[in-house]
Amino acid sequence: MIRLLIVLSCCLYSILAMGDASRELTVSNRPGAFGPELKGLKLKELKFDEAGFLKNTSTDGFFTLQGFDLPRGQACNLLLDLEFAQPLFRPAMFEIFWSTSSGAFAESQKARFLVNHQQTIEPTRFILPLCKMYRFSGNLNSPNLQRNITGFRFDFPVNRTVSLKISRFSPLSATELESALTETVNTTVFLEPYEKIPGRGFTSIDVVMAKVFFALEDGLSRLAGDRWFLLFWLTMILICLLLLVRSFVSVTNKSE
Amino acid sequence: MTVISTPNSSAGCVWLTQENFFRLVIFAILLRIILLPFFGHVDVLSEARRIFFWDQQGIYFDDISRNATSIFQLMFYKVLSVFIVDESTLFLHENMRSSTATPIEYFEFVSNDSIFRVLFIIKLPFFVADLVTAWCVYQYCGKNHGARRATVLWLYNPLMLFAVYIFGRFESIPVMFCALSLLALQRERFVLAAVAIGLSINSRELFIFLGPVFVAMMFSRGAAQHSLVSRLVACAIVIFAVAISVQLVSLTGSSLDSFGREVTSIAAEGRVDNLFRFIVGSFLMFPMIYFVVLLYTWNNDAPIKNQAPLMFSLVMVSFFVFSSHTAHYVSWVALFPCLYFARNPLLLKPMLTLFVSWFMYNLSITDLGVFTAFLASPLSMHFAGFPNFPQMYQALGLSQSLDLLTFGRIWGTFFRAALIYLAVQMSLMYWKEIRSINSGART
Repeated sequence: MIRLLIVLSCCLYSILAMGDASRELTVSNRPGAFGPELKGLKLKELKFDEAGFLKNTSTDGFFTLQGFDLPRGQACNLLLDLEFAQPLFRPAMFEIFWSTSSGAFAESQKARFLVNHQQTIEPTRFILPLCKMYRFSGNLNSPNLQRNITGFRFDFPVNRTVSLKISRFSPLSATELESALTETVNTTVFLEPYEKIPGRGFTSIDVVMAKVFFALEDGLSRLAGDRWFLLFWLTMILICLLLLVRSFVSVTNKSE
Repeated sequence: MTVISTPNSSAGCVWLTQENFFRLVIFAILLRIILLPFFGHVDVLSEARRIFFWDQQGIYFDDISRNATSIFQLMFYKVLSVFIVDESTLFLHENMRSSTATPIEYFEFVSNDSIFRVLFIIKLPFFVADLVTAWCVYQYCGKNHGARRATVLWLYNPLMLFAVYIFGRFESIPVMFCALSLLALQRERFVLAAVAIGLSINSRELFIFLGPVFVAMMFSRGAAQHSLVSRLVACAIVIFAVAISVQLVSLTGSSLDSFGREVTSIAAEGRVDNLFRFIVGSFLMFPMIYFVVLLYTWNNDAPIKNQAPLMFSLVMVSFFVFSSHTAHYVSWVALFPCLYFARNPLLLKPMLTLFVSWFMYNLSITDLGVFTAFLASPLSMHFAGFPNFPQMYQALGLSQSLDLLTFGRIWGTFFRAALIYLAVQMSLMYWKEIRSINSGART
């Protein structure tokens, strides 16, 4: 259901936001195209090993990928085919920055996303719905944010042991995402992008409602995931409520 | 404190019957249970890491001056950690020399699938300490109508609710030891009181100021009627506790901590620097008032059980009036007005003023993670990205009417005014009480 909503919202957005700028995608969709020879790729404190895995050499590794010129509607989703050399020790926080035709990478153009540590080392397709973001989509309050995307920066988590192979790194429009979802892959995971929203964004009820709704939906679905704890916690609450009700009932009985 | 009924001590509170009191206590517990799993500051992870390492690897953070807090939490952790799935994933940290968590590490921590049960378990010792304090308030105030009123105020005071259940810190533990100490002093059990205040001093750095006040009380004229031996033993215990707290005495018998670092004192770490920031003219305001309180205590001929709550509260109030501090620290002071509220319901309005001004002041000066939706990031990481009050204030254009700095100063002034008013009212009640005792003795 959530996936369907995401796809539908992305479709709607891409219809609204589709620009006519020429599309110059320098990253091939071909599997295995992401390697040291890739044009526009620059590594910082990362290195490829013989097997093609990118490894963090410090706690601040990242790569940049330049050479795009994409209207936002054509980059509403970021598709990442990843394979981890070893399971993550704990949830790992990655950061993705984007640059536009009006400026370079900046803290204000950044999303965080978490990859769960329980992900196996099997190749997994991750989809990051960037257009869910206030800053990225820019269609809510600030039309002037609608500049073309020129590049991405992908920051590794501080955990040194993260080592991953990227077989595909593709910005996709909503229609491209639809066709990508029909491809046969082991597992597809929809990631949740987290962003810092400026004060002026929260002056719009459209942003506040959407963000609070996403936050509560996310929180309550996570709470439901730990069923034993949920059961215990609800039981405790129920006991307190029963004690309260009993205190009123016993007073009524006494008065009778 | 001798319980003296005042003419208006039960006025305006006829609804607080035994049944309603029971309901309010249950509702307070319910409120706490609901809040326990959802909120937390970055410091929650830092503290949990330290407890985990002590439990798993015997690594004891002996340079933090929070020995008692750690032991109290460790006792709970030993029992409850069986319910935590995959502790290593949650708490293991490569370099425990810098155990304070970063926001990124915290975000990874709160993204764990079992974060709600983990937060519930981590905060349970604080919850227990909070309830023990409520029990102390009820006992201390005489288990009568006034005691019920004071206990309800304690249970619903937003200072402690924020500090423990929203911010997620252990502030209820030092306050619990302080309340136990006051209860023991009221019952003239000085050695027990010394142990409790010693634990309080070793639970939170700045409770150290209660140590010298305790010693001054033991040597005051008001204490002369009590056994010298018990007073000397009590003083020795408190001095020993202070020495441990400032690292003059090492519990491990070494000048090095578990990582081989030289153990430092709270002064060397700069933890008392904020006492010297509020300089008025050429005076250091908090130290000046503190020495006045010490001299007054030393020279006082009032019974110790009457002196103790006022002197402790004056120390705490003057600290918060004349120092810079973060929002959750203020929970240390909430206990004392609650004790006096049992006998004087007129303290309710200044208490409410204190709560509101504290809230507004800290909203306006908020920094990372304090008084923001950030604290709800265990529920969802989306909250971490929501703007805080100062950002909204600017975005809504309110600064054109009143700039944020002035807004903060106004509420900060109200906050301090409410504290000073409470201190004056508590002092007046104390002097009235002493006059009553003296006149009773004469007749």
